[in-house]
Amino acid sequence: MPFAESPQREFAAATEWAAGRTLDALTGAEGAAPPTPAPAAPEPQALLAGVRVLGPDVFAPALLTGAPTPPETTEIVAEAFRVFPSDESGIHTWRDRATAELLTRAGYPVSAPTPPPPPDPGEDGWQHWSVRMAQLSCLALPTLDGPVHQRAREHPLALARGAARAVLRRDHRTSARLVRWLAWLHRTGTPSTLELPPLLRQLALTGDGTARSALDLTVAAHLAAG
Amino acid sequence: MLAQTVLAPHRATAPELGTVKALMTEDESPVSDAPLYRPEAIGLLLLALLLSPKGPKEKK
Repeated sequence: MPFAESPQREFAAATEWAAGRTLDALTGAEGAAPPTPAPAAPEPQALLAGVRVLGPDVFAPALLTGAPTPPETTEIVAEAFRVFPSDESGIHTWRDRATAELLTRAGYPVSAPTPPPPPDPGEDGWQHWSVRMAQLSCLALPTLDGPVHQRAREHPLALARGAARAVLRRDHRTSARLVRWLAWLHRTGTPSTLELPPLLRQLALTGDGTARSALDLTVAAHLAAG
Repeated sequence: MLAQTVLAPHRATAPELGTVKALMTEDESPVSDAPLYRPEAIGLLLLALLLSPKGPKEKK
């Protein structure tokens, strides 16, 4: 894959690649002949970065469909955790904690630092809080639960407001991530003030064309159907 | 699903770690809010319409 010199662009492209492969595994398209030539695999360091960015989402096909995660995939996630270790600052440590939990379940025990308190809409309003929750949308998966999920259960209205705001701003990426939380709430029995099917249809029609957003929407559709 | 990988040789550098963190915590898109109704814009449109030159006439 012809990558640019900047690690930001290289890692972003690798994340897209890994998201595309995960999406294929989730939709059952893995191994099927793609309509256009599939991009070549990224360089090893970039691929590990991409897998590290996806975090718990690498396990989404297994958690949503019951198909086991291939051992070599789990090994790559563990290697990504070793090469890109978790540090103790920032909201991303919640993602690291979820990845560590899933890796430990898969037989690759790794430790993650204790995250800061989960974001609360009472601190700086539902707008900012919903963006923080969008950054943690990869935690919206079956069998994962914790303080962040508890916050989502406590504030379904703030999540719905955030999703509606993101749709109005035409911020497709944030909308897809917040709709995923709404779908998780639906699956866990928390009533939401927004109807999911029209939202999912709208976002599918106006997609931003990225594999990451497509993965978020597909996970949301699975959660909503369950 | 991600099987065709050779494991990476070295531990990530600080800029690489920073890049991964930034990709994990994508902020919302820097787009403007939804279009707002601005009544004063109507006056400007009417003024522009009145001041605009007439279209060329067809020669007989």
